[in-house]
Amino acid sequence: MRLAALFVLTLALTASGARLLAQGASPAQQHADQALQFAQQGDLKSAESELRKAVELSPGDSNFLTSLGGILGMEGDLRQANTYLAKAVKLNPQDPASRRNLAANQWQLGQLKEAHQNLDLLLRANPRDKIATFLLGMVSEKEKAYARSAKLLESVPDVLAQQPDGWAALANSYYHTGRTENARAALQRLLSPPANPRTVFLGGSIAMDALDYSNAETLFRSVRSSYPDRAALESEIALAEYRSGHVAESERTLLEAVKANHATSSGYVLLCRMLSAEGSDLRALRIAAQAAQAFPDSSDVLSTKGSVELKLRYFKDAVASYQKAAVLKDSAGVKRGLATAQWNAGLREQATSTFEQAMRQFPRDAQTCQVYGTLLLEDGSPENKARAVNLLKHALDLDQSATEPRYQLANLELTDGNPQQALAYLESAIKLDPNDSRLHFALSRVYRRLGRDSDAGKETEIYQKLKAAEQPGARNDAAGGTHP
Amino acid sequence: MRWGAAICVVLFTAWLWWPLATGTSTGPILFENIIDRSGVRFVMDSSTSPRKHQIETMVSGVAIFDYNNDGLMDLYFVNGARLPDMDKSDPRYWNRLYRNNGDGTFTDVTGKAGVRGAGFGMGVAAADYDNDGWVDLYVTGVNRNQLFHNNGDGTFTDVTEKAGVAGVHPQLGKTWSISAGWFDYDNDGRLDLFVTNYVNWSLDTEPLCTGGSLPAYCSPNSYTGQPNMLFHNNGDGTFTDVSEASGIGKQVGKGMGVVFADYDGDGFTDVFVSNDTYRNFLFHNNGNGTFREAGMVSGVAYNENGKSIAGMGADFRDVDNDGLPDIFVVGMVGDTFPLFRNRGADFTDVTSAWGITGPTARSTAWGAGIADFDNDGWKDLFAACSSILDNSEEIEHLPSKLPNKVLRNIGGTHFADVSASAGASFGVPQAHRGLAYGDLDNDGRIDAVVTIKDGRPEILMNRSPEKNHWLLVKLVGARSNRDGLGARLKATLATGRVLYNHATTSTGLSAASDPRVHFGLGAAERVDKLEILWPSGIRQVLDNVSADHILTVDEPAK
Repeated sequence: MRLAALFVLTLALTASGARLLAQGASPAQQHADQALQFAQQGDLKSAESELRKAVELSPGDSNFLTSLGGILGMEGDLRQANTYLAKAVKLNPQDPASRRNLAANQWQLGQLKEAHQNLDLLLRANPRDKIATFLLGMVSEKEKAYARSAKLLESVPDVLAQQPDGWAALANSYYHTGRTENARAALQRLLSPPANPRTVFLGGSIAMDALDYSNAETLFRSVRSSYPDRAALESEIALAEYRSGHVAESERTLLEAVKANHATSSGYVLLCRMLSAEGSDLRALRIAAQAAQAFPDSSDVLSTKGSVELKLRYFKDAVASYQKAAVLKDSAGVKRGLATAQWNAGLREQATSTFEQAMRQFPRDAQTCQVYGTLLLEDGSPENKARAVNLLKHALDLDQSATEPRYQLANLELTDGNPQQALAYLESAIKLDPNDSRLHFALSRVYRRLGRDSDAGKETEIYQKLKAAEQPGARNDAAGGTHP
Repeated sequence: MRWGAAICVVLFTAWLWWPLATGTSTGPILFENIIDRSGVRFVMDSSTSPRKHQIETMVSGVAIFDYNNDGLMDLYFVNGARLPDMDKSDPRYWNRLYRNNGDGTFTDVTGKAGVRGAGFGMGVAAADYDNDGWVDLYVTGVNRNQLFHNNGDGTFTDVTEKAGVAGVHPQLGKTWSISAGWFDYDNDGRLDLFVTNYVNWSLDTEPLCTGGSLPAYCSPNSYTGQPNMLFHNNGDGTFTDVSEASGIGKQVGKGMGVVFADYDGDGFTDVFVSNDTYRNFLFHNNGNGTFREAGMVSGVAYNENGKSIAGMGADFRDVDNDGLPDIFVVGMVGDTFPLFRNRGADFTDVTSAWGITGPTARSTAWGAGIADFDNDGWKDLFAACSSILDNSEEIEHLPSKLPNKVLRNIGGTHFADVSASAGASFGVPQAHRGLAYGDLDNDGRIDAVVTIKDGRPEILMNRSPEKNHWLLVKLVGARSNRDGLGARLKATLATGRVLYNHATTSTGLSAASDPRVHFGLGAAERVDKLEILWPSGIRQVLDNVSADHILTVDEPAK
């Protein structure tokens, strides 16, 4: 969003510069003249230096202060800019240029309330102030007043034409007010004529946030050769491809990014997850290892590596990865992964301690209870079973949409000779997730136990259909626990 | 006839107090590997190559049987062959027959017996198919299946062609046979032959499979499956292939182990086949020469999560003494080793509920056995463990060699992993494969023999404390098949406790076990009543049978 401010600030500088030229040649003015020339040549540092001299010589001149604030804003020093612009407004409250620049600066600093007040003053004084209208539209978008933002922005098409950031903000406002087609049209304006790559990237991000993945993909792709942060761009392209269902393309994008050292940590994580989901666990692990080298301080990367190792049954490696991840970011997911890895690595006492700690630390995390409960069922001992049942029921209390606790509890009820109770769990689970083959398999067993052979047959059929869809085709995989 | 249902409630109550009341010992299950002093020099040779031919990893089984009727169980080991021609002429590839000398040693009698075999071997089934009183051998393999008729003089004759059991499928040609088993499916007094077949494979067309960048044995997903075969014994030394007519051949899986029991008590022996990464088959015997595949309906097709496991070996015996034979199957890491409890009409997967998931979820096994190793009256579980890949360290970060597992049955409702205290050999990881069990020294304690890929087998003598009593029953059929296979035995003790077992030699994977029916009796010094239901339908009752001996029972005329 910085471009908009630059635009406004540049205008301010030019305007004040013109006034300066017209006022004769006091020493302060000479410095200001010099500053303008430097600014026009793009030498902002020298311009700043000259303006500082002008301000020093004539501290009560609001024009010099506005110009210095503008230059500082252009240099990215928004806080200092704000100081000078505020002084200028204080000295000359009626000067719209100073107030406009102050509002623009405040908007960029996230001082939305202050920006809003200044813009309101400007528009009250001059309702046809297009720049103020534009800026208020931008501020309103930040304030999530999307309807107002859209109304303001679409009222100043000529400013938007010069200020493509506005199209992005307008598209965002449209998306949030359910005007998807308008949003797409607004984003289309970023492509023709091509806007600044950063603005196009921003537009892509807005489309991503609005779940409009194909548009996002188009926008991201259009700046592939020009956007400076290649890693972030490739990551976003891959994510857009993935979310729009183009998994193979997404995987290819990320692999190429990895190859070209253009992968972000989130790109690596996404790639690992995709490879793992398709059963290419060893490839996922290789990528995860590469990611861990590139981003040794990323908890997400390390826990993703741990999850792949867990799936591959490299339990000790998984413990190590999760331990590192836990040091960097202590989340329920990381703790749960660590405890599961420890359990599987045979470190039962440590696993128990980690699970218990996780449940104390994250008492609302249903998954931790569910995973712990399921693992406790492994040894079949009555004590563990009782604890497991409690945990699974608690998991269900915490997350009524969870199917796994229902499934586990149903299996327990069935084994204990209570098919009716099992039935209740399974029927509700299937409502939540009708495509989980295991649920239908379990339900077929329950129906059979209840003597409902016809229902059992139907469930078996559903199970087999779902199962067939899950089966990999004939592949030349190695035997054993993994399918590389 | 169903014995279990009526009394299971009584038993359920009884087991709670029985062990204490009768003083049954619950000492350790303990084995000693005597291979080094046994005289057994057999070294399995799978012709392992860097190319990783699929058949290399699938070797091979062992039989425990008495070939010379001296009352001592002998050993027969199946072996691979040279590749690529599958030639067995080099003695290193011979199958080996070892005579039990009765003193803890064995003598190699392969040459004299004429059972060195041909082709790349897989498994063995042992039984007296022609009722002449001498146990015969059927050897399965990749390119050859062979029937060795026991001549009764220490020699065998290859009668495969004459008998018509070469394992050649009308459409597929010679199938890749893994296991075989003898049973009398039509109760005509003659043992029929069931052969499991694996996948369509040939050296010329097998794919190159990799784990990462390394060559590896393929997943079964790389191949299509083959149907199993059933041969009906004509009683004249020949067999008829009834695979299609019986319905057995209509089901195409990836057959591994085959085990037999009459699971629904209708008097006809049923068949369980474990399949590799495919649902298990339970062939219900309709009693009219046909079978109905009932795995799904009965709840044994998949594990408790609805997953087709990499089914390897299996055993089919009653673990909870309710008179209903249960099924134990072993698989690979992540599968668990499912235990399906027979409820009469169907089965319940009790793997997790009975404590088997924990000890088995992270292991892979080939051979499987259900036997009462501590003679406490509750049959325990044995799994011969090893990874499938011999380079799994590099590919999967998993050990390629694993130690065996033995799980003690605690009161018929729970199993505990007692491997750590089962003897030194249980701490030694090996590429274990086939498992057969039986009483090699006739001391009433069930021993085990485990083959090792490209290694010497383990001969695991049972050294568990001898506090508990036992009974071994050798059946001699008359109207029934001479081995009495399929006979169901019920032992009632003075305490009212009732134990069940049945006669079968088909256990595990590619293996044949001691045909004698074993009972661990705990503290009971006698069996008050021993009931035998012969396959002929004849019911025989023996009273007051003393413990701790081998009882030979002849089938009565009626």
